[in-house]
Amino acid sequence: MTQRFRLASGGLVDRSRPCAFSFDGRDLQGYAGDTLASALLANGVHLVGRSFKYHRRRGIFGAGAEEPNALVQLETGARTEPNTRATQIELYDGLTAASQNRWPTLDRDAGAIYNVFSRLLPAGFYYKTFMWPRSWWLRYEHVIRHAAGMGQSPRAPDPDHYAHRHAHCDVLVAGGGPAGLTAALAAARTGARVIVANDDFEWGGALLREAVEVDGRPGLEWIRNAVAELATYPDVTLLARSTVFGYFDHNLLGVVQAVHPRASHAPRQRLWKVRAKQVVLAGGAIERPLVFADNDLPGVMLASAVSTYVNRYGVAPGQRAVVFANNDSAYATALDLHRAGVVIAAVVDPRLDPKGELPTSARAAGIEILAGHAVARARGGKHVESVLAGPVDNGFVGAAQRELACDLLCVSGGWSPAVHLFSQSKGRLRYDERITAFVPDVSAQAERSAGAARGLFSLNRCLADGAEAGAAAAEAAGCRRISAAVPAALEVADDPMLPLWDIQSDATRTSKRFVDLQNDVTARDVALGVREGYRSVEHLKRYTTLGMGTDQGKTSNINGLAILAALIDAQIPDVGTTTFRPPYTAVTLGAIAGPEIGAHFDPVRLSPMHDTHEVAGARFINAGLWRRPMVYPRAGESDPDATNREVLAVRRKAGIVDVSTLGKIDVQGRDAATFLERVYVNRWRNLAVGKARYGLMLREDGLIFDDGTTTRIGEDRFHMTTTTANAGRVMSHLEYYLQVHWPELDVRLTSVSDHWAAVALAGPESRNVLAALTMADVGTAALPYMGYCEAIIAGVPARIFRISFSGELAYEINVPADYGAALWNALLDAGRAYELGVYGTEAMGVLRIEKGHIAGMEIDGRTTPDDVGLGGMVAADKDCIGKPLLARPALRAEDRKQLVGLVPVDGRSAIPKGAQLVVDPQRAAPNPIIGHVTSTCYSPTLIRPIALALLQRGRARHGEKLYATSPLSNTVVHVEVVPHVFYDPKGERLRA
Amino acid sequence: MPEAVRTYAFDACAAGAENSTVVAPGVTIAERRPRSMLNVRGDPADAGLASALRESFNVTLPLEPNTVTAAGATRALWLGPDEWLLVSERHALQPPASPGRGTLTDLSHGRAVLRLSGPDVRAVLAKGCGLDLHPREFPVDRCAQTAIAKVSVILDHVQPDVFDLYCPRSYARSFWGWVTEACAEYGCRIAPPAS
Repeated sequence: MTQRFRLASGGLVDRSRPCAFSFDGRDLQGYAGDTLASALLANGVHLVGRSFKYHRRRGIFGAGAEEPNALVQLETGARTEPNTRATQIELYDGLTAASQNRWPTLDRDAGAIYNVFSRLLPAGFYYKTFMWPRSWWLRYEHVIRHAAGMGQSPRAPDPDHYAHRHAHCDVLVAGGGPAGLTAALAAARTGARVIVANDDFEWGGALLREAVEVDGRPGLEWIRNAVAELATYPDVTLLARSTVFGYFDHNLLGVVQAVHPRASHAPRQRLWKVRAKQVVLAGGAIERPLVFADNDLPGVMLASAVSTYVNRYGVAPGQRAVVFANNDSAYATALDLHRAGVVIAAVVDPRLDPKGELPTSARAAGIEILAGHAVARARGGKHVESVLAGPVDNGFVGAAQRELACDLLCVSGGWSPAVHLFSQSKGRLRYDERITAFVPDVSAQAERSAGAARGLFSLNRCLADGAEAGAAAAEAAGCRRISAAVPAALEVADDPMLPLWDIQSDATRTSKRFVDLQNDVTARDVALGVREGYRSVEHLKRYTTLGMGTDQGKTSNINGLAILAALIDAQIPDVGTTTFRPPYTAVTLGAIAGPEIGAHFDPVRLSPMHDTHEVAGARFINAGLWRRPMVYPRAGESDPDATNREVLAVRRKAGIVDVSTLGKIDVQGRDAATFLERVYVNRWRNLAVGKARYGLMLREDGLIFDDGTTTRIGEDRFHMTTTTANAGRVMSHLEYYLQVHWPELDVRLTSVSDHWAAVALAGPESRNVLAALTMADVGTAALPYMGYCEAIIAGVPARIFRISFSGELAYEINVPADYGAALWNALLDAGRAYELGVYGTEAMGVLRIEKGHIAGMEIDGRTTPDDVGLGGMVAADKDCIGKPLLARPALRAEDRKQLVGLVPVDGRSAIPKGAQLVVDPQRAAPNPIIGHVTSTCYSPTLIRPIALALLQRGRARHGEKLYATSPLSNTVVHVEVVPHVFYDPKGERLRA
Repeated sequence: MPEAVRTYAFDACAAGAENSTVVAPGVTIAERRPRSMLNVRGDPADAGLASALRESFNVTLPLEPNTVTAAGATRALWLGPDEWLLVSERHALQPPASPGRGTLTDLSHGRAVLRLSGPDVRAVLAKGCGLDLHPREFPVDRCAQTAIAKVSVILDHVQPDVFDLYCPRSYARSFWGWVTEACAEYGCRIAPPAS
């Protein structure tokens, strides 16, 4: 027999659409409109998990975000999700879920042994026990970590994808209940842009569980009409299944939306980043449990949750119920159950004479009320079977107790407004004696709370309060207020509640009275914590774990504070609350990462010739965001062999390399030369039009910032190049100086990095290759070393710079980017006759090390021009950025590290990357380090390994023998110090 | 010498991806191939620059931040107090010989342009763009420089529900991947390039 506890009618479930699902391997059935929790209860399944510490049986306790017990492992395999609240899982056909924290089965759980020995496991047990011997912690930790935690994380990559979404609105309403809907309506009617987020898949909030009328019509009808009206406004966004999980600075709120139904290509969840001018917090209130012996038995449930199951889902969670409440609201549950045919054994109420409207109705319905009574203990093995109730005095139940048989115990200890988001916004709370709970007091951001979220528990007042909050929020956001009718409901007169925090009796002194169900924290644990000195609420939380876990103490917070206050003889407001932090409910990491995974973790920059490199079989290397060809190995060729071949082709014949990644800045204006003199260490005024010059830039502190070749392409126009890595930084640096320090200069900058494709053509045959592609005179007279001309190359207007990084006769050719591939292919065609090869960044690196040119490894933010042998470039007769601080004594010290070359003494040992230079490798630590290797390679030109290094007083050490030691690779190489230019030190080849 | 082959930034992405058959797409993606893009820098009060632009291109620079002025097939996008982008669909914009004290720099190959249009275009952009693109806040002829999926993008609201996205050429393929994935859930048509 299925769905034994489903009522014959009523509720919002669709009885014509059954959904088959499985729980712990049992095949069950529910209906569309159910949650997993309501479907389980319809089948009589209460037991859904084992508790965190003692492995006690736990049943469904709540009906929404507050649920502490019913955390299940949803689905299996790659899509599995641990610790999901069964009370918020919308049932679908084929759903699979399993209980957690039990082995081998939920009913026969080996971990239940912890409950037997629970006297030995008080608060702080782990802190106290596993301290000694100290060195054993790693062993303990392994075991403890295994026992800790609830569900299992998925092991396989997530097959779903997640999206992000930015949104802006005048008013964000958090909550889809009566206050939230009236707020949204009031705001929407002013024409405001409104986003309404509701964590449920049904709109209506508390109205869904209350059999009440609005404006004389059924509440559900009012909800339907309200949502339908909201849907007509084009500037209203209705987000169901969407939890506002975080309230951040500047009214930025995070909303996580479960996307449903799953269209093809649709993300599984969408993370909204909402920037709202005004926020209305209408998240309602959370019912509090009562603290008495064995109050965690399956079958003990929050009264409001029971009403939800009866009225919204058409499920009776029991057949004979006791209601235990210190306030009027739970009487509605008694009446709901009574109407549904459930026997009410009694309503147990500590108040001596409850005479509000609801208790009066209950009495009239023939329900017995045990006034002045409290439940001292719930009894039962696997499920509540009876309760012991007796007259209560100041929280103490005397010996005269009566046993009431039942299979359902509905509890209500009052209501706590959901102030989580308000507190996250840094608003200040105030303690409200009337409802014994904290309510929002002083706002810190542009928000207001409405309805039950600020302690107004009557439906009528919630409706009015929401409407006012929505109108006021829209007005504050700049919309014009309009007057509109406010929906109304009957006011229900109620009696004040009676605070009742920790219910004890002689017989239950040693029994477990749970305060925090999710973390297994009992009233005795709180008392123990206080005895041991943890009197601050924040300390108590960490010591006992009260209010930790995935529910963050939604049901336990106030009860814990009140018990602590009583123990230290303080008032609840003086005890204060722990800090509320995002998220309100757990957010999956996938939603936070969103689409920024895999290929979209970072964008990739590609040169205009990228596809030709792919075709040529290049192996690529990431250089910042760029993907550059590193080497072009032929079939069967190793990377080092290929690099050697590429280097030798350049040295002997010709080669081309893609240098499009270099930063390029067009510097224009009458003061362009003056500007360059200020930003570079060397002279620019005297550079002739059509000539290029190598420039060195310093940071303000005198250390080298960047280098590159800059060419005067017109009287008032320079083409500056930067290193690939610093392209953006140099542009910002220059723009900053022009805007902030030198606005009087007539200079304008434009980044042209992406407009130009750039190819370096190098090697003794390069002039012949170039001449084959252009009518222009590229002879050394017309285009000498460091010369510049514009020409048509391969049919494309090009800029030709005769500059060389390799040390060979070389040209850098720039063409508009869309012609980059055409130029590359034309060079390959024309080069065939001259045995031209292509080369990648590895060969480029070898060529420049051979030539002793500096790169990022030498310009490491610690070197001065003099350190790298370029001190002579610093013009003595002018100022520039960094020059004053370059004069600091430390930057002129005699023992500074200077650029040198290294060769292995044996002529063949590779010099390790990053090796440190020492005089004597055998010397005991601390062995003085006098230098380090910056760049190292095998030189196929010189047929031996070479390296560049920075060495103290290096220029005076040429000829000395040192040791390059690398503890990382455990190698020591005997090296000789040589000048840093290994190849063609006179520069005859590049001037050829 | 034969005419060199021009390779557009989106060539390798769009080739074969065109799917004109998608019915009622939420978004249509089309590559734009403007004939000319010129970066203008200068003082907006410089009469020489203003008259040179008027005479050469019939263009008046917008002075209100993040707005666009259009003159025939040429649009002038405000990028900064002293910076604009001139874009012409059809004309090769030849920088005037003496643009006052301003600077005109050819960037025609520096940016790749996608046109996104359709009823869901704002929903797609909102996946990566933090700006408020509601028509009241970002009407037609408004532009902005922003980051979408970590790519610096110039956004130009050309017509109702039609946006041009200018991304640096080197990011084009990455950006294409992001855009097409972001559009997928809304039904996406990839139209042939328009020049």
